[in-house]
Amino acid sequence: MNYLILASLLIGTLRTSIPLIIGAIGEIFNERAGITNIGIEGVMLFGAFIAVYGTWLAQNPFIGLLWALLSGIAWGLIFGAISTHLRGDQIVAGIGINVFAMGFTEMMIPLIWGTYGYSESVNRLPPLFQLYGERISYFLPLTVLLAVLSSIVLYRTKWGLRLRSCGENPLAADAAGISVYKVRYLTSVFSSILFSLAGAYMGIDWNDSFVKEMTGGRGFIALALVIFANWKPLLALAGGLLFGFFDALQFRIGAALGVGVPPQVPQMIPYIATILFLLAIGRVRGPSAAGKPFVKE
Amino acid sequence: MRDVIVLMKDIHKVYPDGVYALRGVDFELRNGEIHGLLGENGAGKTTLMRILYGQIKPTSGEIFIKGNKVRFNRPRDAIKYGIGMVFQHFALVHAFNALENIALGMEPSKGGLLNLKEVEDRVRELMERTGLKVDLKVPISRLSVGMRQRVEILKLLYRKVDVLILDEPTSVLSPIEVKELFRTLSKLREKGKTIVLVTHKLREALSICDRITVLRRGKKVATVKAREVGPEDLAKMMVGREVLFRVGKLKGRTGKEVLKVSNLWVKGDLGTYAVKGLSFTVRGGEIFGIAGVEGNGQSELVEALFGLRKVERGSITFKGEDITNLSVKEIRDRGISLIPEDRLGRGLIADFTLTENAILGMHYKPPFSKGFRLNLEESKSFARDLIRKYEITALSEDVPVKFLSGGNQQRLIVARELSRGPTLLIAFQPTMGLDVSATEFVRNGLLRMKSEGRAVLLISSDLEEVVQLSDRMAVMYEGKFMGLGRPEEFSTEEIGLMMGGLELHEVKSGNS
Repeated sequence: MNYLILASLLIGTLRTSIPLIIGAIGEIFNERAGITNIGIEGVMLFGAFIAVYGTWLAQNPFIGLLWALLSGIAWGLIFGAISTHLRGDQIVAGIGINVFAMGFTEMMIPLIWGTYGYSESVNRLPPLFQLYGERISYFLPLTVLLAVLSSIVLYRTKWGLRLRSCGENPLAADAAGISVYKVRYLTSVFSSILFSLAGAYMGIDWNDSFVKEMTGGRGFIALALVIFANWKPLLALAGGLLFGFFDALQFRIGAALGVGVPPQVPQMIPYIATILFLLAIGRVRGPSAAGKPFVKE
Repeated sequence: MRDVIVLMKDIHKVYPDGVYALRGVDFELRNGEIHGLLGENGAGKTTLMRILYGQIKPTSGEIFIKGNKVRFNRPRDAIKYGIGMVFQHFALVHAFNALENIALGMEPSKGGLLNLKEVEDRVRELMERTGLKVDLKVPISRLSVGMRQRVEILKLLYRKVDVLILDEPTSVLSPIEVKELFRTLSKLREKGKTIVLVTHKLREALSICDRITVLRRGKKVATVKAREVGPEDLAKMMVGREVLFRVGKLKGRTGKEVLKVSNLWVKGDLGTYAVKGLSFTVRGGEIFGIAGVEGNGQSELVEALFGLRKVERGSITFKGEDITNLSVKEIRDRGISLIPEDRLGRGLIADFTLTENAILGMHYKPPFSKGFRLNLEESKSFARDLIRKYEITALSEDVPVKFLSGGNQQRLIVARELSRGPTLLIAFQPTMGLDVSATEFVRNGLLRMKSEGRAVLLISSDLEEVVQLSDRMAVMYEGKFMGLGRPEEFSTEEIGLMMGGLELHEVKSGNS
């Protein structure tokens, strides 16, 4: 029995860590290229919504996934424009995306499904296989692969070198003949696709419907994970499992505590853990030029 | 003509704001020479070289490389033709090591992966050939400035550049590093590279260059063989003869000693000493001028005097009181005012209105402050007063100062600082970039301060200004005074020599 609880906790950890890891890796690319997008949560939430909506319309989860991909591209282009040519304040833009996504998706639920707070159930993506009656998602091996490939791309290829130079000293990158804007646009699109797919995973893989605010701050935990992982994809993979463990633990503890304790108490666990982790690692140094618009004289 | 590698013909450059940087300059570079490009600030040296490097486009004129007419739109184009430039501010990624910096933008790949080994092999071979030894595997942030410069040079050599342009390469180096750099440059010349050395330092130019081109105010004065000239000739060409000594200078009654600086040592941003043991005094009723080419420690001196930068050694005494390392507010409160070099950086807040800027620094005192509120009526009438008295052209006192012209912005700063009635006024490049009338206005303001018995410290790279206004003056070079005395005691040539790094006693003995 205990063995089964442990197994389900571990499987739960794998499940909850996926969006954290994908989100963190996307943001690692962003900040390494000199962009700070704190709108991860919003793009994720929007991705979850659009994936469920697309699936519901077409009765096909792969169509939903495709919609989420397109949504990611769109957000990436918007944020890319804000952080390059428009020279906007990236923090404000990120907050704007979060607030917009939260309000827009909640408003759309009754307009589409006629219910408040949650959508109809839709078809999920097929699982890779079942383990102890728990679904194991295709996203799991893909996430591990993403972390490994990201690490190789960032540190072992010329594209990674160029991308990192844009985040450390865009003037030097420019002097070396690299188009800083192009790199940042492409990176923004790539990372927003990741955010959006992480959301789609939550909507049509982990769950089978859209619930308002269903990302529940995971975009922000991913942001913390970036710092925790010292802007390294492989550490984000390891750290994501740790953060995911506490996320999974809240469900377990919540169930164990029963009705006597307010549900908000166990729900605090992942957030408190996040704060404690960040306190524990102390001062860190990210890419020098992250979040700073690059202006060619 | 056969060994001419670069030929620039009749180059003009007018900046969008109407400033003439170059007025028809011809420049010829021969294969395998070290060519000095000499001139004061604003002579157009860097502009000319940035045009050659494709970083800015000339307004008119032609460039020929090995006889072929070229048009560069970006530095990449210039590099393709074998021309590279190292700037005063290096373009390096501090988190990367030397190898990664050298490879950046031209990375060899093997099987899709970055092949830094290939870069390393080539760079090691280059280091062997040129003697430019650098630790390739340490992040740039841990390398000294001299080492970083080597990385920049290696970066160009890796790109197979034949013509290296170095913009004031010695300004950030220690004397030993300068020696090493020059040894390297000689070695590169042996290997057939052509080098342009942009500098204002006479001795350096003479010690290493084959030929020297002197620019003055956007025009070429001459190209000479270094062997055939002495520092005096170059100084004369660089400074020109038009420095006029003001006759009938107002004789102020020189009063008591106001500012006394003794053996002052101040570090620059790079952690090396920028001010090296300066000592001088300024008295009431006198203007003490400090001349010299920009970047010889003037900014650090001013910042130290005003409490913006830490004094490492030595002392600053104001009216007999030690004010070394006091805060800016404490220093201002004692009656010292500053007209800063950077108008919109330290002088004004661009988005604030004239009124808000007019009371800046006095805003916390009555009558502008009443309890915890600002007295806006009082502030506005004060601003209107300044506008009228100092002839500032502005629609109203409620206009953000960013909409004022540079001249009017400067008038506002001068008005504000003079209205405080300081005992000592520090004026740093007070007329830089101003038109004739605004310049006249500012200079008259300084002279009025003096006639009122106040002390003025004028620091300017405009030699004419220093000579005309000062009662006593010094020439600053690499953090030290090359000479100090009354302007009438120096000839133009002597000042030029001091600006180029020769000390007064060397200058005098060399001349007599």
